[in-house]
Formats: sequence, structure tokens, C-alpha cells
Amino acid sequence: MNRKFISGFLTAVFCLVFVFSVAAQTNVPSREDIKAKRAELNIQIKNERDAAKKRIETAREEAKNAVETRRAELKNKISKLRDEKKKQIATRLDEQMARLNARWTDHFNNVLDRLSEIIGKIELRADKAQAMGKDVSAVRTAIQNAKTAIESARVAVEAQAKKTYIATFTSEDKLGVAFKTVREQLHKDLFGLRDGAMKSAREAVKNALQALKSVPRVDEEPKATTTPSQ
Amino acid sequence: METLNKTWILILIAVVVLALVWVAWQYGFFNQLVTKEEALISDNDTTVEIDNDLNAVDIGNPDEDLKQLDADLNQL
Repeated sequence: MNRKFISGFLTAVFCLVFVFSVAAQTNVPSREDIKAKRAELNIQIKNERDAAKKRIETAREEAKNAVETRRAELKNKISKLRDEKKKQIATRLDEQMARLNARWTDHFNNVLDRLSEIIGKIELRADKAQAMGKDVSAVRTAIQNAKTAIESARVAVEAQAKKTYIATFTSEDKLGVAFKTVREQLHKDLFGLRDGAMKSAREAVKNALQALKSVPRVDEEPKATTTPSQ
Repeated sequence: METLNKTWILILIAVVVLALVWVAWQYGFFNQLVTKEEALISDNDTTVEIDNDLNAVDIGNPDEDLKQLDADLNQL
């Protein structure tokens, strides 16, 4: 009886060893590799996102401290205006311009976060294509270019976040001109950023996607029995 | 003798259970049970889906916001 159990046990162990080795040679490493890559990219993007957000917050804080005296001067000048309505409008405009710059730099930063995620997807799809033996060298170059463009745009957004828009005027009759000048500067800066670094980043991501699309049958998933060739 | 048989049966069950756990782990079954952190990159990574994602990215136009300032500016 005892021998019967020993032989049964040994047979079971041999069977399990066989199953383990077969399982290890099938799709598991391939799927695991892709999963691991996705997890790695998620962490990378999250870290980039958090770091960019932090940099912008620091830039804003620094800018706020740097112009504290000028802002206090402006508030003081506004408070001395005789026209009560103009006083209210000038106060509101000063707040609105600061808020507008903050809102748009936040928006641009969010756009760059989204573009980073899309580049992550392109990278993952390129990995899958490479695992199926396809040539993705052009895609890799385009991905790298897009990452550089996104990083440049992040620097530009950070520089924009540092900017402050404070009107300076000497007399009440020059109040309108002073605020219009600041408004024009804000307009020029926001459009410069949007049409420059931001559009370049988007274009670079688009180019990476085009490069990916030019890989034949790129949307095919790696087959279950395929082991990725590194 | 009977105790010895029971011991072998328990060892056999333990080995089988361990094997099942190992196989389930290899296939990522447990990952589905664990609450994951927000996944930034989803499984939807075909070129069509990436294309849709990219088309949905709107860089925006600050013009509308800036125009809102003009109403106040004209009153100064």
C-alpha cells in the first residue's frame, strides 16, 4: 500500500514538473513581458506627470514671490483711482489675467500628459510588432523624436507658468492702454506656445503613429505560442 | 500504516494545490483580483484606437478667454 502511494506521488510530481516546463515555454513570458512593459510605462508616465506638475507649481510660486512688490504697487495704484467702476474693472482684470495664464498652462500640461500616454501606447504596440519579428526601427526613432518634442514643450509650458502679467500705469487716463498692452502680451505668449511647442509635440506624436501604421499588419496580437524575440 | 497513507495524501494535495496556485499566478489571475492603480495606458492599443485618442486631443484656443477680457478693457 505504502509503495503504491510512493509511486503515485512520484508520478504526480513528474507530471507537474512536465506541466510547469511546458507552461514556461508557451505564451506566458510573452504576455508577461508586455504586461511588465505596460506597468513600467505607466509608472514612467505617472512620474513624469507628477514631476511636471510639481515644476509648474514651483515656477508659479517663484513668480508670485518675485512680483509681490509690483503687484502690491499696482493694487495700491488701483485703490487710488477716483472712478469706482474703473477701480473694480482694473482689479478684476488683474486677477483674470493671472487666472487665465494659470488655466492655460494647466491645460497645456494636461495635453502633454495625454500625448505622453499616447506615445506609451505606440511604444507598446511597437513592442508587440517587434515580438512578431517586424522591423520597427523607424517607429522607435519617431517615438524618441516625439518624447523629445514633448519634453521641450514641457519646458516651454513651465517658462510660461513663470510669467506674470502686471499692468503699469502712471496716470488714470493711461490705465486702459496699460492693461491692453498686458493683454496683448498674454495673447502673444499663449498663442506662441500653442502654435509653437505644443503643436510641434502633437505633430511629433502624429508622426510616430504614422510610422507605426506603416508597419505591415501591426495591429495583429502576438500569437499564443510566440515567444518574443528581443 | 493508515497515518502514513494520510500523510502521503496530504502531501499530494498540497503539491497539487501549489501547482494550481502557480499556474494561476503565471496567467495573471491574481492580478485581476487585486485593486490596481489607475492604468494610464489601456489595452486598447490598436492603431485605430490610438488614432482616435490622438484626434481627441484638443490643444485648444485661448482666444475666447482673451476676448472676455476685452469687454472689461473697453470700459477703461
